[in-house]
Amino acid sequence: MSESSHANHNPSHMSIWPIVISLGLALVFWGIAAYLLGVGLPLLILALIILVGGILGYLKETMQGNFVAIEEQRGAQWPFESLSKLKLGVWVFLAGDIMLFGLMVGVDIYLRLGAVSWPDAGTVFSISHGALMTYLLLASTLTFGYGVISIRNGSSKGLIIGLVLTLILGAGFLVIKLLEWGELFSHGFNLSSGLAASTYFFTTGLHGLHVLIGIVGLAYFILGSILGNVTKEKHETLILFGVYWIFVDIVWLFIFPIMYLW
Amino acid sequence: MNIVRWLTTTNHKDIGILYILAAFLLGAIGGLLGMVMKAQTTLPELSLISASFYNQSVSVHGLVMVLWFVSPLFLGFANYMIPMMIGCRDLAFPRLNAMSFWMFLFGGLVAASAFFFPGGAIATGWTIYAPLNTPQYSAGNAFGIVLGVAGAAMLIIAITLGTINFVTTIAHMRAPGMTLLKMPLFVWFFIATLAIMLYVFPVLGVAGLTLLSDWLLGTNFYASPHGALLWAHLFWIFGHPEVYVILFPGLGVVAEVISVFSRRPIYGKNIIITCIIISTIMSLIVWGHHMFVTGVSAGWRIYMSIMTELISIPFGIIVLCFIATLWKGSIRFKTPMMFILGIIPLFLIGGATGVFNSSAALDYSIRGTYWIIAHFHYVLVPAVAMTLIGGIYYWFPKMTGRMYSEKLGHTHFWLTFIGMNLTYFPWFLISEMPRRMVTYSATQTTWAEMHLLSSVGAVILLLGQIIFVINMISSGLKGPRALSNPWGGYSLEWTVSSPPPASTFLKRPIITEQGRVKYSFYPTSWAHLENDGGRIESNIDETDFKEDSD
Repeated sequence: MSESSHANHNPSHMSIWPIVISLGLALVFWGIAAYLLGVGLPLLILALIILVGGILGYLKETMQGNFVAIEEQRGAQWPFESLSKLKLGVWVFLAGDIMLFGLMVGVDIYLRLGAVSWPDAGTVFSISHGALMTYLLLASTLTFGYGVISIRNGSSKGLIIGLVLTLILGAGFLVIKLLEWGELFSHGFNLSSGLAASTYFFTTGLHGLHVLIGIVGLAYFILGSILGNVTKEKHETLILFGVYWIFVDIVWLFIFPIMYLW
Repeated sequence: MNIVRWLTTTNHKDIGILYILAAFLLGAIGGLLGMVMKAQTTLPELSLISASFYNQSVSVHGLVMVLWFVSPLFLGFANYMIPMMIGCRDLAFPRLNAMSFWMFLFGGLVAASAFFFPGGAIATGWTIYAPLNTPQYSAGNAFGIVLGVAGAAMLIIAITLGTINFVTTIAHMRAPGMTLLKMPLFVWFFIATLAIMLYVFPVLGVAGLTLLSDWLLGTNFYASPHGALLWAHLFWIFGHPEVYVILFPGLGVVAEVISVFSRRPIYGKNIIITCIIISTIMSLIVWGHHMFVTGVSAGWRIYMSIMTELISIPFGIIVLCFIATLWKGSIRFKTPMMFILGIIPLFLIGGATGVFNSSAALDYSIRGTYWIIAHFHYVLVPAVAMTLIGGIYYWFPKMTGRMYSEKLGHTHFWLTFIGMNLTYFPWFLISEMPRRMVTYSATQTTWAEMHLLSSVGAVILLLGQIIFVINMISSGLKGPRALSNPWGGYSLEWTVSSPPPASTFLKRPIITEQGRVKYSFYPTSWAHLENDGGRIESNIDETDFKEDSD
């Protein structure tokens, strides 16, 4: 087809991880199907190993800088001259994610308004739990900001402290969420207990998944800052991750009143 | 040509070719399912296949054709052409691009694999309406629905990654001087596709994930009293704009081909761009015309009727601009041009019947009939599939470095054109027959006649596609060498050799004020094209098609 000696076919411009991750995800779904047939547990476990391994491999490749994308000189970029390539990509992703959550909350409201009866606020979902979780997430934004300010001042120690605190707060959010779910399950309120349960578990679950991804990201950046890959000069990806993390916080600020206070 | 390279590549051209090959593989599956259905309905009271398999064929044919055939086909073109057209060497995030392709491919395989599970593939119709899609009513079809929706979820990941990648690339990596208005119209149409995809695929994501959760986790979104209407809303908020998602790239190919083969700059480029933006916005707010009989309020029906009728205006203007481009042009009837000219009357039939459907009063009697499937086949087959096939012919010399056979190409066009009309037009004439019927009574003599006619058309259509495959394979292997610019095209991809080197440009192209390319990298083959506001002259002549000393 074309000369394979060229820069675009160098090992630095090839990566095995995209196909591994995709295969892993496909195997997860095949594993679930086989599991429903009663034979698939080993396949499901194998699939999860491949998927997680693929994601870790991808992150490792990124962290070690083994994959090099082609950088072009500046050309015509109007009207996006002031945004970096990566930042623009993150904002486009968030635009899609805003649609996802916006519509999810829309579905919740639609079903709620059409329903004949709905549990009153405070009767099923504990407002104090919700408030505590809100507090933890908001506080995690603060600690993240502390970390970013530290690295801007050149203190990687401050960065690590800030990120570890953020990770603890985020993990605390998830732990309280799981405890709350466990409590609801023990009261016989599970995913099949009507629309209030469906919307609550699905929406908070989808948000919890985003928090979990955020925690994986935090772990990645903590490792990166311990290894010295995040520096005063080079911390753009950290800032962009912060945009994601704060977005996830803001989403919770919509979910909390709709699920707990309404 | 080693296998590791193809599995690990992140080069946009390699991935573009992988997309196109995968699209034809999956499209062949969808097409064969269509042939199976056509065989079953050829004569009344046949029972070649079971009713259950017929339902699976209906559903999978629809889903595969819309999601796993035309989408990857235009994504293939976009991957291959857009970086070259805007003058950069690769997409912004090459690894995500590779991930996007593999997610798409494995998603298709996951969905298709349901045929081998008990109960078979998804059998709910491609719209997967609630409450038929719930465990309560489709218990026997569990694997079909779960795997089908899981495959769609992977497709959503693929599309989301692709959207991020292309938006960033087009916004950030244009060559110096390549202002927004100087971009080729193919890029502009693709921007509209990107905008809509960014907006609607998360909607399909919400719909698919809630449905999966109903099946796997035990929630009950769609068994609830409002579940049916909720699904219809979510599905069509996605489903209607999806029509434009796949239509716009096809129109982009039309714009490129019609201008190059009539040796004229496209008529009213800025007007077309304005119409693209207007119709992109309007496409998001007309989904309700799929839901006239679901019990939505009268005001809603009137609003959706009017909006749907209005959206035909920008498309009408776009088509008029295409026709005006031909005016006083020096038209060359090469195969790509044949396809593009062929679709204009067909798209007119499809579009005009769409205006009828948009009237709520009329829709009450024609919804769910063969009239509707005739209408959308007349839109999707010409304006999406045939335009993209025209695009394959147009860019075949660029991608493979070889010329296809004109004779086989023309045969392919005529068989497709005749076969397509013969297959789908009879369906307009049996507008009282409900769609998705596995068979019908022998007393319905008109239905039987029309279906027989339609089946003959389908065979002709299939023959045409076989010739297409033969042409592609034989020409790809040993066709005559192509010049770098065999058509005298104006966009940047024609300034590099055929096939282009892996890293397209040695030196960054610069676009001058007049829209000319300042640097040409392969000067021996670059045609001097100058836009003097009127006719474009080129030093290309017909003998260029024969042989290149290479």
